[in-house]
Amino acid sequence: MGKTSLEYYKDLVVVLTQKELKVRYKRSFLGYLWSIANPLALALVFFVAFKIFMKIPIENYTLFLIAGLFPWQWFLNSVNSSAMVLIGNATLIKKMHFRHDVLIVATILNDMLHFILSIPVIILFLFIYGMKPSAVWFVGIPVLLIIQFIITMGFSLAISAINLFFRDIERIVFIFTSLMFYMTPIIYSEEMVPSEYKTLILSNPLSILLISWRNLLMHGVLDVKDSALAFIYSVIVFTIGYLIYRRLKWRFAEVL
Amino acid sequence: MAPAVTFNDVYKEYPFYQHITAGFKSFLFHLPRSIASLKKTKFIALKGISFKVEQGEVFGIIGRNGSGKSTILGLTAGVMKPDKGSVKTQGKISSLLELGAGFHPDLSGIENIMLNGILSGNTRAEMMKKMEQIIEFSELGDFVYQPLRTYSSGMHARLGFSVAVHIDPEILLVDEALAVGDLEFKEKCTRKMKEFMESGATIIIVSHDMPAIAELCSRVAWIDNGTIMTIGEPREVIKAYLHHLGLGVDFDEKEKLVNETEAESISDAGGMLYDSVDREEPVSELPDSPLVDMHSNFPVKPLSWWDSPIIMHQCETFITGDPEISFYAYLEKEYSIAGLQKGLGICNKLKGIEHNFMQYNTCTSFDIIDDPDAIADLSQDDPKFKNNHYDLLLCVDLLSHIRNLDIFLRNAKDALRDGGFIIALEYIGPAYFQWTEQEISIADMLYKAFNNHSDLSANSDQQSANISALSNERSGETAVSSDIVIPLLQKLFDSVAVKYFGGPLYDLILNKILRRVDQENEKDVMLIKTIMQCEQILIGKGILENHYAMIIGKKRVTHIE
Repeated sequence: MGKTSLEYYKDLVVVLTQKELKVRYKRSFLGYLWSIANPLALALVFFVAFKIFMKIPIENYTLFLIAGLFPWQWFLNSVNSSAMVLIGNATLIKKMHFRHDVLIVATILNDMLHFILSIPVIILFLFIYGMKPSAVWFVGIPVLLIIQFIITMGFSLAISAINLFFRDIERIVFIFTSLMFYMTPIIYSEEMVPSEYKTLILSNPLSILLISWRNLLMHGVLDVKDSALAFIYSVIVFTIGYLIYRRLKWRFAEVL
Repeated sequence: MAPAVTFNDVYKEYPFYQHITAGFKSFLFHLPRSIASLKKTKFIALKGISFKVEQGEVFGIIGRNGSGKSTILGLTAGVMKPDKGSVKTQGKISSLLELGAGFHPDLSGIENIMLNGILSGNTRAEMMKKMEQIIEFSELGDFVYQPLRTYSSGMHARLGFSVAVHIDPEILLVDEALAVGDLEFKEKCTRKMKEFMESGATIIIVSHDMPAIAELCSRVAWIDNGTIMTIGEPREVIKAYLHHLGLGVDFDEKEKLVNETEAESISDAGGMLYDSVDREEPVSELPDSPLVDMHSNFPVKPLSWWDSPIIMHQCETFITGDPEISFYAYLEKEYSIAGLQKGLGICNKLKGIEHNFMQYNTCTSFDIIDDPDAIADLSQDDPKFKNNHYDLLLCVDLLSHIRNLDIFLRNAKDALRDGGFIIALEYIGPAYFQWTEQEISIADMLYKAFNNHSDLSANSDQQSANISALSNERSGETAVSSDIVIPLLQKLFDSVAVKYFGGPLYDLILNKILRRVDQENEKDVMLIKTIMQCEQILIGKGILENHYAMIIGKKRVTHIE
């Protein structure tokens, strides 16, 4: 029953995730529907702007948008809230001895849960466009969930730790994620990118992942080469993020 | 058996991070200076501390604010790492570093118990088993289903303490936690801590509450300026610390003081009198101004009914009759009690009020007797203090514990020089008193008035029930009967003055709500004033039988035996 046993860590993650969930919807009536409303509203805006006004040549554009926006929303929420996760739990960090990265794990798991709960919405749109979910999902979704979890963890660890020392990171992250959104093929397809810019777009560690998500959700295809590449990216990001976090973590109780 | 906690030459410093947290921009724009200042400006919290706490010990840490006490606890809890040296701990640690740490205001009591338990290293299964016990001990009832933000600070404290003691820690860290909560719960906590001690757990307490430290601890360390001044027997260490505070000596003097303390604790093996007059502290070391801000920074808890600035001020006002005049100035003006040499403070438990007398230049030094055995000895025929050389005898909360008042007062008289004074701050009334129905109903009324006036959210039904519980707790306690003590004093001393300054109602109410009184809030202050004024009127009309009194006697200058 020691502090290091697997059972203990499982419980720690479960309780902290539950806490995040409860706290997030403490006094809200519609609860988790909000996490769907946001990407749906965005999808509507993009649909009107790009499909109706600018006549972008992509079929099933609403579905196309949703298949990218939902996973993106998970990433965005986790990274944005990671800036405040340690500050928001300052009393815990200062006074209790436990692995603080579990707080970040809990935040990301929480957003992941919301993403999983939004998959039925994607299925609904598939049916509207006369398509069906594929059996490949049973393998593909867990694989991509894991990859995205690792990459999000890498970003979040670094941001959460640095933000304790430079509170400005919070703003920088906001700008950075907005830019990243347009640098990632979410509202456009990678085929539309001129070849000289393709490397730039694909060097974005999230691009391959989001392309994989869309291929999986829309077409039921899981490209092994893409997944492997996305995994490598995620491991690199995670390693860098973890190193930054580890370098700073002993000072947490002092700066908070 | 390995020690529970081992500190080996531990250094800890805090760079001043404000430079960075002030913002990226200012950091970048002043980069060379920022980095230079980062290197230079640091606060050294601990300067090479070594000590061991054996398993099963109750270890107290005392010292001024900012002396490094909390850093020691933080290092022990593992939330910080030392810059040099090592900290080793053995066993599961539960920390009460701050009440309500590890709680979330939007979660219910039960959810918080689970959260806190998990963060302290328990599994869910373990917590489920203990859940019922924890809820029961906390006495929260149905409140455990409510979010924490609806709790009063007392309820908060109860929940925090309850979780901390029920997760079977081998080492319990307590930081000032016992200072919160009401009287009943405090006692329950003390009982639980004693249970713990008996079960062989190790406890480390940081507190300014000297009586509690003296009562609970087996060893005490006094920390000042990041170094250990002394470690040893609680009463000796506390006395050294209090003397140090009262005299305000500089650092060189401190070391002298420590050395002397050690020397004395050897020579005075009986441990009865802590004699400080031979130390010859220069008078000039005393604070010049009697207006030292003793209210805000005085870290010793003097008396339960005297330890709030408002109440203290009210007590002073009732004794002196003028809000502008301090108690000590009044003593000087009315009775010429000032500029005395040596005093003897006798109290049932270490109170620390002597230091006020020293700070205000009433006496230059004090001996203290607070050991129960020594106090019992005072009503013997030949007590040690019968030396005829004190200028002031200060009795605090003491006379009701004296078996033979007549002999005690005779001894006291003999201990005083001619023209010396005896001042007693005592609870006076019929022995074994009972609260009258009327007193309880008035207390209840005032209590409710307080709750309605202030913005504190609390369940008033529950609290009015607590009033009678608290009053029952008080009843049966002994008090000094004024019919006996005053004639006795008049027989032995000249010019005996008695001033009543408060009674059972405010004792009852203030003990219960003191911690929640907002010193800044005018309504709160007004209400305390009103309560005390009501009481003054009631005492004047003879309705209240129990009250606090200040009794002053003066020994005749010329007396024939």
